[in-house]
Amino acid sequence: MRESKKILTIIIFSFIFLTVFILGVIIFRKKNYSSTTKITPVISPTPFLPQAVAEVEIVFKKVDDFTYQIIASSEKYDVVGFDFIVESENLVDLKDLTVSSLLPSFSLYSTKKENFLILTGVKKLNFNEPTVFNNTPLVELKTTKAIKINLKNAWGKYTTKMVDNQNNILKPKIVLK
Amino acid sequence: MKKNLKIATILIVILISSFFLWRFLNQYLYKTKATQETVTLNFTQSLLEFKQNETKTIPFTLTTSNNTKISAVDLYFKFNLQNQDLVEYQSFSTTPNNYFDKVIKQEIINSSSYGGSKILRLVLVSKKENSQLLNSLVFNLNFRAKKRAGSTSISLHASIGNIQNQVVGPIAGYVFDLRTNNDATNITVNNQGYCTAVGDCGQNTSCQNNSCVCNSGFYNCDGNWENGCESNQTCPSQTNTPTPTPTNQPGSVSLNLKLKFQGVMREPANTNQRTMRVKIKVGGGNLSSPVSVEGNFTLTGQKNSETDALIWQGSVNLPSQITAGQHYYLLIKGPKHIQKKICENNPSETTGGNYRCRSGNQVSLSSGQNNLDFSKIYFLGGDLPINSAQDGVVDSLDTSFIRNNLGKTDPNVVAIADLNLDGRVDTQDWSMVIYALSIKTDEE
Repeated sequence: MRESKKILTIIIFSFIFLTVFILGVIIFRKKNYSSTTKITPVISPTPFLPQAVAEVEIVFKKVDDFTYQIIASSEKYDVVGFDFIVESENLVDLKDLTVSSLLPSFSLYSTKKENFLILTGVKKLNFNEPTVFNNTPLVELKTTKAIKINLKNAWGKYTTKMVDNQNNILKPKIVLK
Repeated sequence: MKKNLKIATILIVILISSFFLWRFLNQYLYKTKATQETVTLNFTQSLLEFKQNETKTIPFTLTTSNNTKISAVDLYFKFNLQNQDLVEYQSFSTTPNNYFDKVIKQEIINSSSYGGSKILRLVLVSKKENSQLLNSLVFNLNFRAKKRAGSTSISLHASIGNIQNQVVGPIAGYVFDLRTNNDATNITVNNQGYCTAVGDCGQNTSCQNNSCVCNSGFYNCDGNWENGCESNQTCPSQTNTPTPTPTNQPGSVSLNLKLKFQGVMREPANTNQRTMRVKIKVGGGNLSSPVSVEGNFTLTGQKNSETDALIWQGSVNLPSQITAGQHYYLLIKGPKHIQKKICENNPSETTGGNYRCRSGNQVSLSSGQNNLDFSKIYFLGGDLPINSAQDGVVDSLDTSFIRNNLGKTDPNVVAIADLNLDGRVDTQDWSMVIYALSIKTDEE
């Protein structure tokens, strides 16, 4: 009984010594660190500059004579914005065209320039869940009469693209269906 | 038996202690210097001459031996030795642009060494992948001369005591042996004054072609523009000759503009945000295509009304193709803004940002200074200088950049996306870029 008490005392003292030693090392290390401020580079695959990281499929689908859809995939990328350039065969047809976002998490802004419709989708601030597209219908275009429209890669300064949450640009591979 | 148990227990405790000792020493002991690898710092210009109040770039290079790549730096530079107050640090950039993703420290330390001096400390870290790191970098330190003449130098501070210059390689703990080639740029601030706006040169002066000049009958005898042209007597010595009275080249045209940028309601959080570089194009008149100039615009602290944004002012001299007596239009583009076309000398609008040029070329320019007040219309933000360049369009890249950096105060990010200049990328900047989507593109 007496012997086991002794052993217990040795163990307790050993652990106290160990704890004090560890604390000492941590405190000493912190003090030393702040006075010399060693910098350790962090290497992570999160580039600051926007880069075209991937080519993703964007489908421009004719649902019926009066309805078109833009359907996109984004591989693993979490998309927070997109631009689509829609060309109409003639200027007048754009007047009959209405667009709407098919995703509640994205707001859609459209501008008409000559015979082009420039659509910008912006992920709303109150949606924080990742939005990775997988053949996801994003935009619907409706007309009152049959017209000829197309999704274009670029026109002037405007480009069709998607942008992810790391400012990476996803370039489109447009498929017309 | 009991004795053996006691010995076994002590051995276990010693073993555990040794394990933790080894682990902590291994974890916290600094890695050894890669002494075989060196990095050489070289100030590429040995001498630079500044006008008073002029900002210039002081370049230096960092080049490693054996092509080993640089991922971080912690560098100290000393300037204004002997308590001189001749230059002040403004900002830095690198080539390639934005090589360092994180500015851990960018601070000025007052030091008692060298008879009193200032020390600039830069701690920068690149988070790029190994393949994107480089073994040679160009740094540009931007310094502005104060309004007094004299000589000083900018040089790498010696590694001593708490000041330890470091350049770090591509893996943790890999510290280069830092050497210098030319370790300083000598600076001379001459007795000429640089200006961009009225009021840059002190009393009894005006600003002509970006140079301070004394008004007629006044002289700058002490050579410093802080107190302007302080004397109404001719200067006694030849060294302090009076600055010539302003004269415009016959027929030359310059603009003195007042501008108002969306969202800047109060003094910027950062003093180096008090100046904006603005592009101005002039078209119409006798020109076959618009000609462009750039100028620095500074905050005046004035507003048209209590609820209005602050007014910025700046002057530019127009190229000789632009002649007086013709009617022109102006295209004005701020550094994070959409270009606006202006066709009136004093345009106004009913709703913020809705002014449109509808009257053709109606800005009439006369010889000499033309005071144009564009402070009754808003210049809308939104075309961000992502990748150090604006693309003339507000699109998903601009909106996404702000969204992805909401809440950030990193100087590199703030320089691109802080539209209201409050020192932070926030929802107000977000609202502004969303509003700009309705304009979408530069006016031409």
